[in-house]
Amino acid sequence: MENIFRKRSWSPYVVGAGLAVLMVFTLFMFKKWLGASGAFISTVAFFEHLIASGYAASSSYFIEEMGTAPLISFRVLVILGVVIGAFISAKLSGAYQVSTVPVLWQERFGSSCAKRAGAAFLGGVFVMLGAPLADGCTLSRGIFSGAMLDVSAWVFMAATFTTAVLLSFSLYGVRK
Amino acid sequence: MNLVVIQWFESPLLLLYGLLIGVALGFFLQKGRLSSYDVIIGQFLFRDFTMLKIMLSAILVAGILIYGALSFGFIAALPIEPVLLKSALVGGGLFGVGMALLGYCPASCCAAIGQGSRDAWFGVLGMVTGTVLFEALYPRIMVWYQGVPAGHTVSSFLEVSPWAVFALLAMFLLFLARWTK
Repeated sequence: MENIFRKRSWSPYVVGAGLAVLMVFTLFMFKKWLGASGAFISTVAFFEHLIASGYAASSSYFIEEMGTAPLISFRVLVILGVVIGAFISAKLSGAYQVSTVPVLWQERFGSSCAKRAGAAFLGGVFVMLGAPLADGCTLSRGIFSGAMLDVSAWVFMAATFTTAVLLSFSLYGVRK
Repeated sequence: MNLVVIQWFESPLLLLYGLLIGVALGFFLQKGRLSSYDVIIGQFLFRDFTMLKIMLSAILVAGILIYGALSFGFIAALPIEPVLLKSALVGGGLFGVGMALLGYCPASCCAAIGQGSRDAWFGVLGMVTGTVLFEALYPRIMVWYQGVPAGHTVSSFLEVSPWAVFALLAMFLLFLARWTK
């Protein structure tokens, strides 16, 4: 039998169910909400406390979002783990490949690394303006709050899909 | 002068558990190909439905587990957040613009780094910048979070059983499974 860990990809239904079980397990075992956007907030707070402790300590957002919770916390280690887990998965299947410009992007915008890096940077800025506003990202707010049928989570997902689809079609056009 | 007591690190054991959970999460994201720009943007262009299939099946399985635990009395109540329509709409709108440019969500961006996609590093730099900007803007938008109504679920809002909502989502997932790539 072929080793499933060496497969290049798994069925989306298996992956979806796996993500769900992992999220529910994390909530029941550790009382933690699985996501990634919060980890960026903790990490930024950590470095701000190192570099500009006065500014960080008086930040109304950090006080509101984290209170006296530890800076390097469970959720920060989760995103470190994600890098490692994806690395192991990609190495096992042979999918690991150092690249800067994705195939789809290259077909449309060419092979300039600077162009792609600029778009990725700008996208990252928008992502982390939106996620704290909606109090979460695709995983924590979309999938997990969505599973609890939280109304705001569904509004968030609908808004995300709408602008993402509109902008993607604006960038790539309709395929003939 | 610093009057706030700073806790720098959580307990080592919890940090280790976090790392292990993260490894499993990264593994799933990579095997689901959500760490790939082409798959995420492929979804927004309706060329590849992997992302919607994963999200819908995750929502269904997590929803059934959680509402099941609720009806068997394992949990007392769901952590439903107040209805923040304005921040959900504006936040979602910005998040969508960001995802269309970046091609990853925050978690899958980290997974993309793991599989060698260097553009994801610039995404992380952007996300750090976005966080600092949001922090600076927060005092101006704080009022959005004040005096909002208590949380609602889709089912309580529509006055239907949550199982009816899950049945509808399951039908949508079956439709995607049958008719899309």
